Amino acid sequence: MKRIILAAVLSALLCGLAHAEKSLELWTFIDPAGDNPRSKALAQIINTFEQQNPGVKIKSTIFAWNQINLAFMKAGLAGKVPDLTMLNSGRIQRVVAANFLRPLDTYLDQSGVRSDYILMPNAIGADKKVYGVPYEVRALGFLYRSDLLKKAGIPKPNNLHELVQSAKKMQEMEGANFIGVGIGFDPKQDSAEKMYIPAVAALGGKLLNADGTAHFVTPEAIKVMNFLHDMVHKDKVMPLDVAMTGPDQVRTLVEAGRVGYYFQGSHWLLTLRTKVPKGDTMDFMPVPLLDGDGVQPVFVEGWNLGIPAKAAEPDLAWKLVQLWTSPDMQIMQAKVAGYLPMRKSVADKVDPNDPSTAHIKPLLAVIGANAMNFKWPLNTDAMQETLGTAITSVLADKQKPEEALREAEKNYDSVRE
Amino acid sequence: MTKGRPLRKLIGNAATAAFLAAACLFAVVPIVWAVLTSLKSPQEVALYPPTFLPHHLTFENYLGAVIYNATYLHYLFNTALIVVIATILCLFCSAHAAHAVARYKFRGSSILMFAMFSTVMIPGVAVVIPLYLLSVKAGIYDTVLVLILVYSAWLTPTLVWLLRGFVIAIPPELEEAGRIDGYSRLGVFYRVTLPLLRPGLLAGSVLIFANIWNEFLLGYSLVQSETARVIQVGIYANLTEVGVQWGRLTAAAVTAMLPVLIVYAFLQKAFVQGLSAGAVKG
Amino acid sequence: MVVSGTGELGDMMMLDRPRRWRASAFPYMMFAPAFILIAGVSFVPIGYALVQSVFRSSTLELGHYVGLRNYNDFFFTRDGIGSLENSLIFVAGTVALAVPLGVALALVLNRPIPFRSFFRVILILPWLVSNLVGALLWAWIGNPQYGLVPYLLSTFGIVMPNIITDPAAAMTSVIVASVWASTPLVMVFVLAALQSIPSDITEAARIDGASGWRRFWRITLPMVRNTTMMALVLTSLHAFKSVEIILVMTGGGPNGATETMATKVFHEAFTLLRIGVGSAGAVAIFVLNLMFTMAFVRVLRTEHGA
Repeated sequence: MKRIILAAVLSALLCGLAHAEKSLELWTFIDPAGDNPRSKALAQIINTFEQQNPGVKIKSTIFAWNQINLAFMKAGLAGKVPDLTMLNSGRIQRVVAANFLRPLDTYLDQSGVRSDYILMPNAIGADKKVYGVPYEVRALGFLYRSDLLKKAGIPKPNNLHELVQSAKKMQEMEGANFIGVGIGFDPKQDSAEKMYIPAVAALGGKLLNADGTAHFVTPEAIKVMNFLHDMVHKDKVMPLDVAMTGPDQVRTLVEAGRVGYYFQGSHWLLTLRTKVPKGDTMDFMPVPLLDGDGVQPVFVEGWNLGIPAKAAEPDLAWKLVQLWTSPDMQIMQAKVAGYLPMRKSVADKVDPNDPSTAHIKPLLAVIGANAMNFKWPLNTDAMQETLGTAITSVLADKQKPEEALREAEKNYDSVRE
Repeated sequence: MTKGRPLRKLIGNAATAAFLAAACLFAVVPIVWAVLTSLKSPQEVALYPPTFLPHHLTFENYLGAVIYNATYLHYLFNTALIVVIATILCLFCSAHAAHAVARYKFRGSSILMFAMFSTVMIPGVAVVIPLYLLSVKAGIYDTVLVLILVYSAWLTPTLVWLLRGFVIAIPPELEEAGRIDGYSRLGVFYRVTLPLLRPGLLAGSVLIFANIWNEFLLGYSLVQSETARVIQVGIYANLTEVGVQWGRLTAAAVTAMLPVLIVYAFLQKAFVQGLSAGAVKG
Repeated sequence: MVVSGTGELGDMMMLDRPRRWRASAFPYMMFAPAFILIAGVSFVPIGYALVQSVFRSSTLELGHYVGLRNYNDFFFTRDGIGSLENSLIFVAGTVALAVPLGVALALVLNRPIPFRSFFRVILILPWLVSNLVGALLWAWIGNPQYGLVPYLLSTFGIVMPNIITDPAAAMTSVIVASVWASTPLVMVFVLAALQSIPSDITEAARIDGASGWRRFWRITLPMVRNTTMMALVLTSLHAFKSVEIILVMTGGGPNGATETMATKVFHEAFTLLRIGVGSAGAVAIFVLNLMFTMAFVRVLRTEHGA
């Protein structure tokens, strides 16, 4: 017994000695040791950095993606922060408002690349300073089964009605368990609002009043709601129970080859291509318009890198950020993980003939022309929850659109703080 | 009169057997399903109609999530460490307290006992944030120490209830004999009472082990970094990165079940005996 | 009640002042470690939660005083009363099923049936699995799109109500998971109590000619009554506090159909970051638990004739 303790103590000491080098703590929701494309891209960045900076080791702590923001809030208050963390671009404003992040303007100005970066609106604080830099950008749209469209002889849809028809055709072809359209509207998860908000905006509707209170009840909003309701009940291309879960659950079905159109971000394209059954091909398309041909305003977001205010090694952390956002690494990420680069100048440098990156240039062009520049209010989850609740209530025939939206307005105003 | 007896008994036995079988099925189905799923490949897991036995038996989930996963093993170690120290701390506090309430009628004892038991009524979610703030102030946030302290405190009321019955069952003459021999009160407690409490302490250990090993909410809220993470949080966090990977998740979960199963299997008899001795006096 | 301290009391009377003081301080000192531990980990935090429930901020800090507004928001906006109803349904459902089931199983396992130890291990398995994992498994098994149970039922021509979209089915599914997790402990407690009944009492009754049913009703049941009641209280307290099962299985269910007070507290505190409102709900849960337990104990006492 004593010997075991002695051995344990000795090995602990040795481990301590081995870590006499500098360590940079990174908080991530992507496991660098994973075997999916995104993990591989991250692993490459970490390796390159460690090679370029001998004596420095990056220590990654992994969190679930929907928990990392809260984890950082708690860490910020406790003062136990990492040197660099990933933060969701839809929620970063909270930690910015709490002053847990270090402003990056000096670093940006020093490096002179600020104008080339695609910055996210929520990463910019009330003081106009930049608190987060994205390491990738993604567009929200449909990941769809292009092989099935080909099989059915249908061209890519130009508007949402055509999309619904093509989804119907897919269901006929593939049988009873096939799901034409999979959008997860669970109010407690991300998704509903990113499909809904641009749809309403495309029709010209607005969401919030100038003072930040809700203005959900608009004819455009009701039109969108009715369309969604029809998808479930009239066209029957989206089963109710699928619509009421979240995007992560829908993805399980996608990976089993059972979904035709999956509402998700473009960053999943390469990963899903490796996961779906053989023979299934997936492609990405931005959400088409409801009325008329064309594309809706594209919802753009991107996970940000932020340096905590109390980070132990801020300069070293910025070095990592610089490497991460360098053109070389951005091209590598695009190729390995299918990410859209967050630097405007990189778009032309990506190989349009490589199947992994073929989608990037056209998509960036669409974004350039038609991005939805949406700045989340302070409490993103409040908006998400109230809108999601309204949508699922309508889909489940619990309420009519106007009634649901009115209640959502009331709820939002009471929760938004 | 006695004519219907054998038939009734037969029907009674058959009904009992059916009931028992149904209950066992209910108890076991999710676990069996978990084991089967852990042996399937990711493609097979989401198939519809679902397959029962794996068409292609694979251990890739166990290899990936457990065996070649240093972090998982680290989480197991953390949890084991917490369990051991918390068990000692909790049993220490509970045994002393149980002795006090069982043997002495002191002022305020009923109020103290009631206050102690009322903490069982506190929902975990209620105290998570205050505990987080307190632990930050005390500098023990994000360490195994804070979990040890909290778990010990949470389990003490139940242990005191359990051990109290045991202490009452010990004949007071034995303790008085120890006093006559010249030992102090505390000495008597350590020399006479405590050894006789062994069955109760064993039973209590099983309760403590199972409760801590399976606890999630607090382990999740009070510890962040991987250094101090516990196993349930590990199962949860590590496997939601690329969505729910059922194969790996079930492999990790099944593996996590084994220590508790082993401990229980070994101490089963002591556990039930322990509860029965405490129960009848409760 | 065993007061073995009478000897002690006599001892103390004969001591002079300092020794008597030390003697009477002894039980307090024995009780102290447990009390300090619990005070630090439970009393102080629940006190803080009470304070927090009348403050409001947008971060994890205390914020500004708002009186009872948090309580109002928790209960009277966004269907707070619904969450109270759901809590009661969830707890009642769990207790109504788990306790009788546990007692019945304990009675069966108390008899000399073949393979008894095997059954005891099988039936305690749910307790050895964490709530989190158990909930994940039940969510998986009952899933309408790829779950085992709906599929099996469909082969018999039965369409199982969809646990994702059907409010009643959703609540049933979480209650099932909760019963699954709670029954083993009830069973073990009651079994332990049964095994502590001296067999000569039942033997004497049988010799006296009492039938099996009568023996059960008049002798066995009263002796396990206390333990059963204890198990009932513990099960209901646990169900009221339970968060993991519902969060993992339905997240609050179709449109709040399975949102209990506990999950609502969790949601307010950790997702919406409205700590004050969450604390208000948590304090309410604590108070309800207290009231329930006290009422229960009182009912027990009067029935006992004490």
